[in-house]
Amino acid sequence: MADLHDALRRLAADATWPPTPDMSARVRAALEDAPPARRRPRRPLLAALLALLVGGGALAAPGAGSGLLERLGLRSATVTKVKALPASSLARRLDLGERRSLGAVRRDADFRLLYPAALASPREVYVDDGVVTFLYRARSGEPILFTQVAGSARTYLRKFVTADTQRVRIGGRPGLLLRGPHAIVFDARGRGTRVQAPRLARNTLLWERDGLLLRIEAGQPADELVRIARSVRPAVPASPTARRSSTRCSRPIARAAEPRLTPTA
Amino acid sequence: MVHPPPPTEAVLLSRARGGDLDAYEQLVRLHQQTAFRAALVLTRNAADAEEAAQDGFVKAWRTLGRFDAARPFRPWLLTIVANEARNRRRSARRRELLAVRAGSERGGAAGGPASPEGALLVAERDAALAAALERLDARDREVIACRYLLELSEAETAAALGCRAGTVKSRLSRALARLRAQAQIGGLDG
Repeated sequence: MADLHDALRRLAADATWPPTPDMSARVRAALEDAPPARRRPRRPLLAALLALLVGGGALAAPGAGSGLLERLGLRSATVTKVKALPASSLARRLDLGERRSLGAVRRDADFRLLYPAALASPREVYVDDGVVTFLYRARSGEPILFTQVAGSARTYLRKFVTADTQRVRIGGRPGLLLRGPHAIVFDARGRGTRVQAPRLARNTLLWERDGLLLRIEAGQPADELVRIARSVRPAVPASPTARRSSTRCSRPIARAAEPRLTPTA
Repeated sequence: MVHPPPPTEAVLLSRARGGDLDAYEQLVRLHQQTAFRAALVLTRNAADAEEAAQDGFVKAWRTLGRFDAARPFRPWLLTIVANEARNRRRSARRRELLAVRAGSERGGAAGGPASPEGALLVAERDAALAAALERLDARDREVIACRYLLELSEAETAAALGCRAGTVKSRLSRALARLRAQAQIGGLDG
C-alpha cells in the first residue's frame, strides 16, 4: 500500500489543474451590488425593527398602542396580533438556510428529528442556525414547510400576524393556527436576534412537542395543516417508493377529526 | 524599508466579520484556489466549479456572522462551496476528466529513479494509476482526490464531501482498496 500512497503523491505533484480564476473582484462586486449581508441586528437595532413591525412601538406599550391587538403564547413562542405589517415584509422569497442531505442533518442535529408521516420524505432539507426545515411539494406544486427547532429557553420565536389566530390542540398539546401574512422575530440559541421575512404568507401552525418548537407553513387549508401536524412522529420517513403510494397532502382529509378549535385568548 | 507582515487569517476574518470588504477580498484570494479545485473535483467542470466557488464565497460572506471564530475557516468555507458544487452537478455541461497525468517529464527528480528507463517505468505506472482513478465511481474518486490531489485534511475532506470526519478514514480506506484493484486490472502491480 505504501507504493500506492507514493504513486498518488506523485500524481498530486504532477496534477495539472485548470488555472484558478481570480474571483476576488467579482465576489466583491457581487457583494457591493447585493443587498446588505443578512446579519443579526444588534440590540439597539432590534428595537427599531420591532417598532417597525408592529407599527409604531406597540410592543413597548402592550395593549395601549393602536397597533397591538392581542398576544398569544406558547412556552417558547409568542404571537402578536397587529393591525398591519409593512409591505416590505411580505416578500415571498424562501430563505431557509443551507441545503443539506437528510442524513447529514439527522447526524448533526442537536435533537431527534420529527417527521410528518402524512407527507412522507421531504424533497429538500435546510438548516439555518439550528433551525431545520423540510421542504415538501403538494400535488399542486405549492411548497409546504415543516420547521423544527429546539424550543428551549434559549430559543425564542415571536410572530406578528394580522389575520385570524386560533388556539388548537395537537396530540393534546397547545398550538396556534395563524391565517395570513406574518413576520417572525427569532432568537437563535442566545446568539442574537434577527427578523425573518415570511417565507409563505399562508396558513401557519405552530406547536410544541418533545422540547421542540414545530411549525408548518403551507397554502393548504387549516384543517389539512392540523392533520399533517397530528401525523408528526420521530420515525424515519418512508422510502421514495413508499412515498408514491403514501398520502398526498392535497387529497381530501379522510379520517382526520376536526381540529379542536378553542376561542382565541 | 521594512514592510509590515501581511495580516493573518484570523485578523482578516475578524475584520470581515465587522463588514470590511477589503479584508474579505483578501480572504477570497487566500482560499480561492482550494475552493475552486474542491468544486472542480465535485463538478468535474471548470465553469461549474468557478460558479460554485464564487457563489460559495458570496454566501459565506452573508453567513459570516454565524461562523464560529474559534473554529478553522477553511472547512466551514468548503462546506458552503461543496454544497454549491453539488447543486450544479446536474447541469448539462460536459464533465471533464480529473486533470491528472503521469509524470513523464519528471525524469530523474529528487528521490526518483536515476535512469531514463526507470523514469519511464514510473511514468507508465503513474499513468495506469491515473486511469484507474478515473474508473472509480465518484464517491471513491472524490475522497481520494480530496485527500491526495487537494491534500485536504480529514476535517476539510469531510466538509467537502458532506460527511463526518470519522467517516473519511473508512471511506478512504475502501476507496484505496478499490483503486488498488483497478490499478492491478490495468496492469499496475502496486
